[in-house]
Amino acid sequence: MPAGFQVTGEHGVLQIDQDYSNLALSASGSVTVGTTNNTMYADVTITGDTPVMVIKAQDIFVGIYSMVQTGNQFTYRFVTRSIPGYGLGFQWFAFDKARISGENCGLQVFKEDGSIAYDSGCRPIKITQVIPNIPVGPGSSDPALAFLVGTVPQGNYGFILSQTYSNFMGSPGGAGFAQVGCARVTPNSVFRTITSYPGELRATRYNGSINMLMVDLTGIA
Amino acid sequence: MQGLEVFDNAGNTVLSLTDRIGRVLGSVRTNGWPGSIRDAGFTTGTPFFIVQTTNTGGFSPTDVQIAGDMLTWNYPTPNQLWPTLDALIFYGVY
Repeated sequence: MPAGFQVTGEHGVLQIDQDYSNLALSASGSVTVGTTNNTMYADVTITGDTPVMVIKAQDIFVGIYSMVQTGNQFTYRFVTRSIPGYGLGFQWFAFDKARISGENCGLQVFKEDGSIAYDSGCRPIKITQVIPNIPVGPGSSDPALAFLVGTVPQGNYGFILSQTYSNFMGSPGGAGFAQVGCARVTPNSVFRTITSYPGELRATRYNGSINMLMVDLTGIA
Repeated sequence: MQGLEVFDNAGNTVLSLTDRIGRVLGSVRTNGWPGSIRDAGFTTGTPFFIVQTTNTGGFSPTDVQIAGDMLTWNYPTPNQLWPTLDALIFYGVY
């Protein structure tokens, strides 16, 4: 960048760079699923450009089975796995390329092509860490056997699963089900499990790993 | 001290000097095949990727990695029962 605008934080890493768009909150919502212990699903459609879906789920395990793009419409199918005696709701937060907030004061940074790179009126995504190489299988049909990934500093967290691992078990077009990595995050602990969709819970066979991006939702949720 | 602090109308902190905020670099469709791309932006922070698959039965991309300025992805060996899935990989840095 021969000329322009950059902001580097205390950690020495770029926070704002006129060459790239920051990710900012674009939409949010909440979902409550049924009371069954089987896998449930919920579809959410958003409008976006390059959306990143953050899940806040403290009680129920949530993963993303699929994301289908039609033009600028993105439809996510969330799948869940409940735990008897725990809550049945979760929240979702979509972050996308920064947009013009319409605020009358603050800071806006534009890219060379005239699109917005940063707008202080938008809530930026704050990634606190990436937890790498979390094993997602083999799983169990018992959510109580879910795996404690580890503890995190006390906070208000959402998470992004880097890979859905919705691997299909069965013949294409015929009977079968997918295995989907799911997670829940309490204020200080990260849990993962795997579920099957569609249909009832099944013992799972897949071995793989995912990364989890931890997102600070303070001030948002 | 260095960086930018942003507050909302109520005086709450929206951005602090120590926040690591995400920047999007781009996205790529795999079309069910292994591949790689280069993006110099990967070297401007800590890179991340997010793989979103379609709902057609089969394998998601695996072995997704970012090293230097290169993002690579692979698939398990496809077969008649479990084909490879198209996927959209978002990538960025924080």
